[in-house]
Amino acid sequence: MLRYTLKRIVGVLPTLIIVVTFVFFFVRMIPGDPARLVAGEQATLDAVEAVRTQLGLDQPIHVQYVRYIGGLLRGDLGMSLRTKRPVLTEVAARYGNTMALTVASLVWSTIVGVFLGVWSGKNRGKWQDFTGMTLAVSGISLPNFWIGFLLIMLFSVKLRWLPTTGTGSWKNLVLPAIALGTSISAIIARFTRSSIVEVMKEDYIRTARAKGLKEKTVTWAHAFRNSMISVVTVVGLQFGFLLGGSVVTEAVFAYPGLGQLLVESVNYRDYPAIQSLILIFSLQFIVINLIVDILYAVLNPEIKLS
Amino acid sequence: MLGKKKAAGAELNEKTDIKTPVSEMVRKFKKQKNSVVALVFILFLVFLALFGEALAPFKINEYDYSSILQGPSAAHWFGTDEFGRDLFSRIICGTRISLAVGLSAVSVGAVCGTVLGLLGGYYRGIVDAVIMRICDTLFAFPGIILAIAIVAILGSGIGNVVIAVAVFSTPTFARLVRGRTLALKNSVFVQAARNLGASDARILFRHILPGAVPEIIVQFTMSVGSSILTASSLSFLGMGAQPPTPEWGLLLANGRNYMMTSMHCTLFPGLAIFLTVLSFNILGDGLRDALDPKLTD
Amino acid sequence: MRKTEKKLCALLLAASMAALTACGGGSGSAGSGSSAAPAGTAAAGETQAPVAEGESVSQETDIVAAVNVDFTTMDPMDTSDTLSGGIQRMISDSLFGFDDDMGIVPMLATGYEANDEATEFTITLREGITFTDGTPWNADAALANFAKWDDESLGLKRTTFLCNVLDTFEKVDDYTIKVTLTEPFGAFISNLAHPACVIMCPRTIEAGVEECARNPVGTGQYKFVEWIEGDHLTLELNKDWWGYDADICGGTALADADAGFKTITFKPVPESATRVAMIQSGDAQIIWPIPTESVSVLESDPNVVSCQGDGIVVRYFMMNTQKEPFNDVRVRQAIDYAINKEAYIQVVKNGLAIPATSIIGPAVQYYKGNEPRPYDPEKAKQLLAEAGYPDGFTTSVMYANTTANQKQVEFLKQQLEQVGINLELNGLESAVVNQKIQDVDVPGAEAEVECYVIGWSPSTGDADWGIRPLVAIESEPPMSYNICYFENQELEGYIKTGLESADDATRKEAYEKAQDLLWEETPMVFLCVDSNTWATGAKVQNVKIYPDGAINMKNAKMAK
Repeated sequence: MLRYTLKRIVGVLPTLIIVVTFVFFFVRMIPGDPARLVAGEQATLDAVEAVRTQLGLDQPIHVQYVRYIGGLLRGDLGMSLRTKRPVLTEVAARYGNTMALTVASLVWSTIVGVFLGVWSGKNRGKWQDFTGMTLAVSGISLPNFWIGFLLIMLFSVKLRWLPTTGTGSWKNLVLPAIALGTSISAIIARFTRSSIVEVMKEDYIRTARAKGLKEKTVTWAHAFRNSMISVVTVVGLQFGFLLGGSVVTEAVFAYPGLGQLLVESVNYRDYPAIQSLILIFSLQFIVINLIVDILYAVLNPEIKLS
Repeated sequence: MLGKKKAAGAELNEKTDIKTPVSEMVRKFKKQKNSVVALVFILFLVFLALFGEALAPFKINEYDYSSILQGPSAAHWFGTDEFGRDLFSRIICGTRISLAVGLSAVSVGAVCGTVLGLLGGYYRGIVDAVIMRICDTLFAFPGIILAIAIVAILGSGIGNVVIAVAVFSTPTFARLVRGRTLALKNSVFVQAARNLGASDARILFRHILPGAVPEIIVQFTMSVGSSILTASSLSFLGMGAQPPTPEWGLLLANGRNYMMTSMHCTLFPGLAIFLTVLSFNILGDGLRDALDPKLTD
Repeated sequence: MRKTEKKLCALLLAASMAALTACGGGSGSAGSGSSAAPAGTAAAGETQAPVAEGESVSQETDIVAAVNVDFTTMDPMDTSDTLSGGIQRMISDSLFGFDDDMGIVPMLATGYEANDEATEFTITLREGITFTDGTPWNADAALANFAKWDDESLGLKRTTFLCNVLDTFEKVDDYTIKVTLTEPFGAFISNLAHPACVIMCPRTIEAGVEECARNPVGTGQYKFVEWIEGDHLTLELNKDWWGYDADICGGTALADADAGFKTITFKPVPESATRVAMIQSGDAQIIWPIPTESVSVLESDPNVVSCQGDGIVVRYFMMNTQKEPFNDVRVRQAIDYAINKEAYIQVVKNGLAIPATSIIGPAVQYYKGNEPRPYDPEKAKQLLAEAGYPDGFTTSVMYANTTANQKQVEFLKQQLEQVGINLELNGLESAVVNQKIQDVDVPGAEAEVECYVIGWSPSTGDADWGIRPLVAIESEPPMSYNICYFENQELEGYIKTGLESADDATRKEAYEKAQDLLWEETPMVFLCVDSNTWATGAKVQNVKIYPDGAINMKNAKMAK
């Protein structure tokens, strides 16, 4: 097991290096002059050049690259051009918010998704299945900012139950988490259903039924337990999807997370911030995929051999 | 001459292999009522995309400052927008754009991905390693983040959204086709064709590709739906289509300024996106079920 | 507009009566004054903890204000956005400030004397004031600020604002300083009232630019508490503000210290619809700007007071006068005739603007209005034909792609279509706009820009800053905003006269002539003067927006 884990971790390293390099050059292809942005709209060309030198942007690109890698290794993500503070500080201030939102969305959508999936799956072909899967396919098809606005209209403006924005209380998380998690819960429901449908056909389910076990026990102790492998995989993979989806959701709810920071940074051409954020988003994604892979191996002993 | 003769055997083989599944698939698909409805709806959308502009009661940019932001009425079924333009007509005309964005982006992605997948799976070695490494890298970005990054470089605009969506749908197809290629590469009929001296290109496109087509079709249908969603998200963030284009995502994003007074400005474009994406997803589901041999009923 | 004013008056009256009754009835029921108001937010609820006897409950209240963008910096000299500037004005006072209508009033100074050439200014400082960290306000503190304004090496965004005109500045006595300028500058005192010139504590300045940007200390009515990037910025009422002390103010206090709240939390909420939802749900007590589309919704909400005031932001459609076809004044006038300003205000601004009658708004010093050209597409076509464009032409407009700009250019496109002009829309992200327009260091004829839309508000309140940056030859990119590349020697003369004189009558005459000339030459179409819109919860009173768009909470009060 340990060997497999180590092998997977080592296998990720080339991807990491490529991603880091890719992001660096990618971001430099973005048009717009960061030195001008820092110097200000009314600054003279001399002042702009002075700022360029100060930021090291006048150096040849390979020098900038080496400097950037060196910085990364020391945990230095550079200085935000917009706020003139270390990017790490900026990210740290918002990372928790995005994590809270992502985790909240994932938790509720997993619970709802699994129940809906099991409910549909064990009643395959009946009205429950039809209802569940109609809900699920609708959930996938809804634009999440549209849901966001409908939620604000209903719960904040009409009913005044929940705040529209902000952080600090669980109440602030409810609406964004619903908007963000809807499509995920639908995806989880679909996977759970098909996995349950598969498992239900297995012999041991028939055996369990034949033994006269209660339907509830059959469903949860046998069918669900055995379909968990694929569900875990899907849940893990959706985590990365949630990180991406949070960009739009955060914009709707003015939620101070990494997504908002990314959009602001793109608008400002804040290179260090853009490259750090894209890097952080993809690193998380890679790490989560890695964990899912390993988890999958733990749950499914067959995989270890290959 | 010689080549053609040699291949004849393989073709025969292929036909007997394919023919029954196709009719079987059609039979199974027909049984899924909602998938048939979804298909009809999509055909209707295609019809609107082609002829909608002629059928719409108003011109796309026909403004009327005296009837700004009016709710649905007999004259304006979906109400009017902030310039007094007929929302119904704009949504009809927008069908073409939203469908074109989804279809063209995914087509480009599917073609590139398929070619890469075939090459990687068939030749293995360094080609495969490079292709798969690129795919891994692209997979290392959540889709919308990659799209934002691409649009940030190329600038906002509908054409660049197509490129962005095409780029991030490519690896999905590449992986899928690579998997099928690996499986089919050692199948009896491919071996036979190779023994008969068929060229690599012929083997790839005549023998292996058809085996991957069903899965490509399912993935394609699903991807069109999600691409339309991604495009509208980019419009929402101000990185997508530019006004006065009646792209649905843009109409919706624009309508959010009037949510408090004029719900119809967000309601109808939102519904249009929702129903279209929904149809593609239902159709995709139906195709998958019809194509999946494991799900016998 | 009148309706909202009336509403506001009625509310004020009601509130003051309520306050009176509350006083008469003892403090026992102070909290139950207005049951119609929206339920407090979680935040407000938490801060209303039990307090010591004798102190009214509301003194702990926090007000939440939702604004459209995040703050950029707290260093006034590094600020180019009105919002951050507005917050800095609350934390720090300037030598000369503005009253509610942007008239100049002495703040940390009590007065000044200038020589006739407007090159020497002797400024007397107000006595008895300390910064919120205890540092005394005196000539040394003033000179520390002048030194910062003059220091080009800091590379701050507003450095060029003053550093080129400042020559020497010296201490005459503890409360008098003398400033010499390199060239005559009649608008010097107005410039000192610009938000970039609010006074910072010398200790903060000494600690470096980083400290100025993150941790400002001033003499102001509010103290800086904290700023969490992207989330909120909190200010606390400074109970010891000199403006509450009638003696220091020289007679009457500037405001009443009993504001009824303790802190203000500003939250950036870019999404307009969310901002509107926040004031409606009671999550925020102040929002600005209100998206013009939502004004009618808020007016019909009994828990919200929506307000409106005159602004000085003028909207322009600029044309590159060095390029064909805009080098012909007839074409420029034709475009002016072709744009229906009334429709523009109704459609684009939802009626929340007034037609522009000059390059500067009526609230700006030395404003002189002109008769707007009527909407007349026939006349426009005729002028185009005379200029050699009977079938119109195709041109493109660049703009920063904000929602408001978008709507604006779409409208302009529709209007120009009527006279045969095809306006292509070229929306750019703000960073690209800078690159394509601001950084371009070539003659106008070679610049890429053909047309541009821009809004400009002279935060000095003076005609000089409303005219010179937009149409003087020295202001062509990359120096400033003369994106029309307008070059007119007669105008240069007027601008020079206005700049070099400290004499009111001379300046007035020069600027009036300049405005007439610009109206005739039409280097840009003067579209409208924006009205400012903001909304407050029914319990919050006297929140205003200065004409330049910055918040004014000098007399703000929270009813119990």
